[in-house]
Amino acid sequence: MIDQVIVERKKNIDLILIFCVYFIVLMSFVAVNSAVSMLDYKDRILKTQIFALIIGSSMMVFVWFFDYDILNEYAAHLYIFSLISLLLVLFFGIADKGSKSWFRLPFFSIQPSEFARVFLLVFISSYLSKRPFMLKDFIGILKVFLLIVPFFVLMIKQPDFSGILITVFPLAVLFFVAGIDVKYFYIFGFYILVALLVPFLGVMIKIKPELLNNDIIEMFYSITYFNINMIIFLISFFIIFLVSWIIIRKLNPLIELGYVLFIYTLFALGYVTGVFIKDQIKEYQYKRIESFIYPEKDPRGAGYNIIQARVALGSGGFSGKGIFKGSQTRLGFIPERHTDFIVSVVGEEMGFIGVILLIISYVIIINRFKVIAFSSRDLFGYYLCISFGGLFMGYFFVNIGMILGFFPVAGVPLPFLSYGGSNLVASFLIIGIIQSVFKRRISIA
Amino acid sequence: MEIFRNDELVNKIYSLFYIIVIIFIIRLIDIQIIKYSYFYELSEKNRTRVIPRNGPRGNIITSDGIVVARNKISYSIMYFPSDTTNYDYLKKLSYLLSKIVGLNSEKLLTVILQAQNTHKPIKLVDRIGLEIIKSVYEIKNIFPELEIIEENIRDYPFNNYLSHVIGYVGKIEEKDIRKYILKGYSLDSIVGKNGVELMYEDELRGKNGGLFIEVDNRGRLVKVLGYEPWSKGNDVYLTVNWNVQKAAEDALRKLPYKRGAAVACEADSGRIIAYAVKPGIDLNNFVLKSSDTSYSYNVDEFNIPIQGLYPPASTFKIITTIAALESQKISKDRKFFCPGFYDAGSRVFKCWEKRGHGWVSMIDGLAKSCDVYYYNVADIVGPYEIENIAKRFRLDQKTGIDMPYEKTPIIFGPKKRIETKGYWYRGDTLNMSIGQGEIVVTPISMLLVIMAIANGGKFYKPYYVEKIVDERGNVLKENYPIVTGSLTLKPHTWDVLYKALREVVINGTGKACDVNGIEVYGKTGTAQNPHGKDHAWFVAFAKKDGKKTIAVSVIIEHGEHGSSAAAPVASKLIQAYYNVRENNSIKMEIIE
Repeated sequence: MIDQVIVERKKNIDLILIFCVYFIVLMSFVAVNSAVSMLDYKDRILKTQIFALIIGSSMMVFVWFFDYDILNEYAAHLYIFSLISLLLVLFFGIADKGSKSWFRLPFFSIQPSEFARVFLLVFISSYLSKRPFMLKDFIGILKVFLLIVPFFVLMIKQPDFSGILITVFPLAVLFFVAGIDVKYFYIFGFYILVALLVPFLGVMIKIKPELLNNDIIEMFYSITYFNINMIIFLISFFIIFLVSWIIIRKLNPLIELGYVLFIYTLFALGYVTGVFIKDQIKEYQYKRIESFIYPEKDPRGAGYNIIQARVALGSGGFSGKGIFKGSQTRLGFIPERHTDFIVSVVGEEMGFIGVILLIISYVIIINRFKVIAFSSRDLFGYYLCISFGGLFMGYFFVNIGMILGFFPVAGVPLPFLSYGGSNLVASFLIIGIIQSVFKRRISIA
Repeated sequence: MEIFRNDELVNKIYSLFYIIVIIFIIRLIDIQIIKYSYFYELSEKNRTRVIPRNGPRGNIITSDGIVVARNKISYSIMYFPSDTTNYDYLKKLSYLLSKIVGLNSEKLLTVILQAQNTHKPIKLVDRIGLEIIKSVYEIKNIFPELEIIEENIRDYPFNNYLSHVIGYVGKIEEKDIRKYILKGYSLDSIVGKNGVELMYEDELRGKNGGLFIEVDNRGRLVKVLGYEPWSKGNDVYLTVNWNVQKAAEDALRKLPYKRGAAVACEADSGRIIAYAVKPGIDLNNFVLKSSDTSYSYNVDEFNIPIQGLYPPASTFKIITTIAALESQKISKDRKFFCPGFYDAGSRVFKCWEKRGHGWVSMIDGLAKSCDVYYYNVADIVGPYEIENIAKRFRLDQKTGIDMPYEKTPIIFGPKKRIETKGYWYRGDTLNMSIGQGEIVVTPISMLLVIMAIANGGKFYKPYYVEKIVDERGNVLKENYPIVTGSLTLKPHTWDVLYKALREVVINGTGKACDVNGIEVYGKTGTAQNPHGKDHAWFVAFAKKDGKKTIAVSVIIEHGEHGSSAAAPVASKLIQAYYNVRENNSIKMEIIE
């Protein structure tokens, strides 16, 4: 097998991947340029983008030359570094659109969560590749879980919900592939479900305050705060669990107390997490969810953004209005047009052809991740490729899904296309890591 | 180590990914290709905005070229709704604006919110002055939604002269909204409300155009895309002669009586030369107050010449005279003795001259307006004959003048009485002969009577719009005299009648209307009014060689005597028509 490796190692770089990445970067350059053409600070934006492109490209080459084993070696350091940066941004960061997630540096700003996400995936990939049986038992899962939780807590504190959403997806893919017992997946799912129940109730009540007229809903809503009611609720719920267990045990003596306690703990944890999340939701995020549920309710308010973005996309037609000729783009009707809604700009100016080329490029990139994963020389490389593949899928689903109307508005960029230095550099970092895995691959074929 | 590589599972996950990609592509085709035209239209609507410009209304011009209704430029504050506002911002805007223009800030806010909801530009303040324009330009930097636009507003240079003919303009009333919307008006359009402005709205209305501009998401102008030209409405030329009109208005105004009217028209065509009503409507008042809908126009809009119903009184003696002559029951020379009263058996009827007129012939009877003479005539001629003549003179129908809400005069003769009540007394006959009783006529219907007498029995439809001319001077429509009927009387009847009517002016009750060099024929009247002082009548026509004959009908409410109140107005009017210097020798005797 080793011989084979030596024989097959011919190409050092995956040209298809590089080609697709730079094709998107080119498209991004045109689209961002068009999107900001009416802004006063367009020069600054374009300079930042070019600067980030240079930094990102050199970072990619740098990582590509080094053996990615170095990441395995320093994974723990990267993990701690990421945690500290996320902690520091809560104290020294600057707020943008309600989220305190930026470090202001003399010439540019850095969004540490973009890098932290990459490093977390690197760390978890490394951690799991070193301990292949980790996810087979509950204690192992709990350990991995506890390693991830601090990240999420810090991200919720910013708050950066879309950031968490985009991080959860690759982690889930990774766990799945790493052979997590499906049973634990269900347990985890149950926890998430309970945790989401409380914010969901909060959102529904924000949208339809008349729901509180219902006594039962009112009662449930009154215990979604950190107060004495919540403690009373948890204790009384515990007693109900115990009592019902005592009754059920008469019928089926095989059910152990530990089982019941476990389910109760899971429920209580999910519930407390839910209340915690609900407290972090900002007003504009309620608006976004509301506009996703009822986009026509307030076409001049929060729903306006997504409607205008879709008008831009639709009005491009098959071949688009022409580069720099999109009225929705140029006249500023598309919100966040150079970042989260950039696909609308592509859709308006380059039409269906442009968007299809974009989608194909992404599919090829994500597909290359899989191919490289299959040819990787070790489990760490395999996990890296799978988790980053999941990450890119997440970006793709959330960003394009939002513009097409499958997702509520979430501040998730599309790698390589959206304006944003940190995201671009982090994305190039990922490509560098993947290329490094490719360079040191084995070939089975 | 390979056992931890789950390629199969990875392939499954990727298959799911491809399926989602395909769903995305289907949705993309739906948005970009199937619904392309819908979204394209929306994007065009987004970027373009129209600044409407109302085409100015046409002018209203008298036959001698005086413009009596025109346009002038005025400035208004418009609000263009934008997408990036919130309640607090608008509240601030309306507060600042209210400070500048001196309006209620909450009212302004309501209007702005309404504009914001409907997403249509709305006019906030009308007719602003220079100071306000300056201040608004200052706050315009903070509030780009505000815009100052130039508009045409209606201006009536002579204010309340000729007001009932001209009419006025105003905002569309709620009851008319449907009608105007169907014709393509916008809700804040200004439309004619009365007179020519209402009757010729379709002609006067300017063609609206607008400036098409490209705007960004804040509604700020990016560039002008083009404009659709607006054009002025058509001009309406009136038959009214301003000189005569002014003379009539001035004469009415000088009188101490509150209400009255003088209408004159060419006897051979029905062209109205003057149409003066006192009190006139202060037309500019409507223009100035039109932005404030709560303002109540407490004005007297009563159009006396077509809406005022008065007993014709002595002017009706013309009809009785004709009836006497046509029936051939009384010769013109037959005299009756007037002792100042007439014994009708059960009742004694008085002559207005208590001392009596002595022996009175037909010409004297009309000239001196002797009631007793006509009582005698009525008894001999009988009520049917009189009613018949009155009907032949169309005193029971509308004149058909092109004005809204004309009232029908009522001849309550024996035929009608038999139909309704079933009895008719001798006293009724006597009352009818002197135009009292239950006969009521409008000044314009009396004008038609005197016109028909002047031209030998032809009835014309009175009209006041000569022609309609478009912006380039093309005549679009021209009105010609319309003969609506005629009647023939015996030549002898005409001779006697003309002699008698001339005698009224020369020696009789109409002396006040005797103008040098002009043959004036007329008849005064004093309508008994149970509610107050009597109404004064004067109907006349005047002839001059080489000039057209003019017919005049004057009514002065509570003017007491036709000879003193109504006749001088007619005199002024006739003088103005024939360009005769004012005749100072008019005697203001009270004679009837």
